[in-house]
Amino acid sequence: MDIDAEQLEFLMSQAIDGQLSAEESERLKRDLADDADARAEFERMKRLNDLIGQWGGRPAPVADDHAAHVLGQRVRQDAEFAISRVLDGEEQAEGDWAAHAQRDPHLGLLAHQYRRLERVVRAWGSIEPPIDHERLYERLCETIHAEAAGRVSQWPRRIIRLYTPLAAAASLAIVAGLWWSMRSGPPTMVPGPARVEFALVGPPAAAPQAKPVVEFSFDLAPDAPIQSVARAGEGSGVVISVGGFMGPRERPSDGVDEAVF
Amino acid sequence: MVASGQQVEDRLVDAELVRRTLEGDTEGFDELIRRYQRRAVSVAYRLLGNAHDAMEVCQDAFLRAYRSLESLKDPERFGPWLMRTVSNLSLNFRRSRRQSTPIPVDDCLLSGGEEGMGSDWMASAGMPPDEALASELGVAISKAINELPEKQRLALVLFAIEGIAQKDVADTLECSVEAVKWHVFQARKTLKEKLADYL
Repeated sequence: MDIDAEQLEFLMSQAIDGQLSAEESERLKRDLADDADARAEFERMKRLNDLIGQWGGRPAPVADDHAAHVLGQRVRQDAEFAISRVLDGEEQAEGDWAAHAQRDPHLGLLAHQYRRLERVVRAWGSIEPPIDHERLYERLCETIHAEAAGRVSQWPRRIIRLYTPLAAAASLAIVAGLWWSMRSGPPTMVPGPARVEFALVGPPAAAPQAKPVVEFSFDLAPDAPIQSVARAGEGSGVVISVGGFMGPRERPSDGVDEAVF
Repeated sequence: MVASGQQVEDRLVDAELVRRTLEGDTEGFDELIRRYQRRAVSVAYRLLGNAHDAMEVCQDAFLRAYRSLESLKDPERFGPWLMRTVSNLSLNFRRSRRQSTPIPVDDCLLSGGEEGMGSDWMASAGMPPDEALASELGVAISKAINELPEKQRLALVLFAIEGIAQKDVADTLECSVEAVKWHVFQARKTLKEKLADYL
């Protein structure tokens, strides 16, 4: 069975890690025997692996090496970011990655790990959720249709819901206005001219000799001074009877030519 | 990044369907569901880790989208807008398993158990199918992704797994495209360390 370059690279990586089955090991041997480039690549990977092993055994960097260590970390991160962008399909990143790979051959293995991770994650991501999509679609549509129908049937309720607060607010405003006007007294009216009427209501027919009685009726504007003037001849004996909101008043005109109320 | 011809066409179709829905044609929204249901469920599933919660979030997301469709300023961006809703609801769901009123979803909508999803997917990763290893690796990947910081997890799921365009992922995460690349890189770096035994 033919295998592609990526699978071959994977087999080589597994062989270096000592994780090949006997069957896979045989297959790798056959492929390497037929392909000089693959053999060269395999040798390169083994050397890299040895180098990484040696590097891994080194003591932790001391203070003198700190700057170089930080710089190395930074360069490595830049290289890893370039690998990630290549995996994203960003063409420009391929140049960045090539530059990093040229400077540090160790990065080939790193790129291999990232590619492998990407394949594994994508493969895992291709697993379909165990959902009956047709039935879910029907359920979602039913939900939306019910929502839409609810919107239409709710129009009268919506109107009530919208206008009830407005009506309540208007009622409150009216009540508040009435209360305010009552608290402040009756509404102010434009004062008009005072009106005074009088009528001769006496003496009664049964006693024609009795004193004549004149009845006054006042219709005064609220802000007008409560004052009315009645004039009668001095000593005429006319009784002035005043009715109105001040209550009845009677005062004989004897000796009085001007009555002020 | 320039949108491809197909993306442009998809956006125009979305805009037309949104317009129809706003005019009262509910079937327009049915079509939007048809177009985005799988992706919405899949994103929620990757973020929540189980199908039942994913369906619940998906249903809630479509309902919210329908209710607030008028607020969508650019109808051509319905897809990213919906995915943002799905992502946010999924994250909220994770934070407090029940923050909003749950919408019950029938178990009959599940097409099978969530355990034992087979090992076929391993073949596409260049690995020999192995039921036990598939299960173990699947759990390890799921756990590693769930432990990522939110933005890294979203960026990885939306871009590297669901294949959503970086620009749209940036819209969803409300960040720049460069930030999306950085989040994806950080996520990959963490996964590489956590899954080193399998790589």
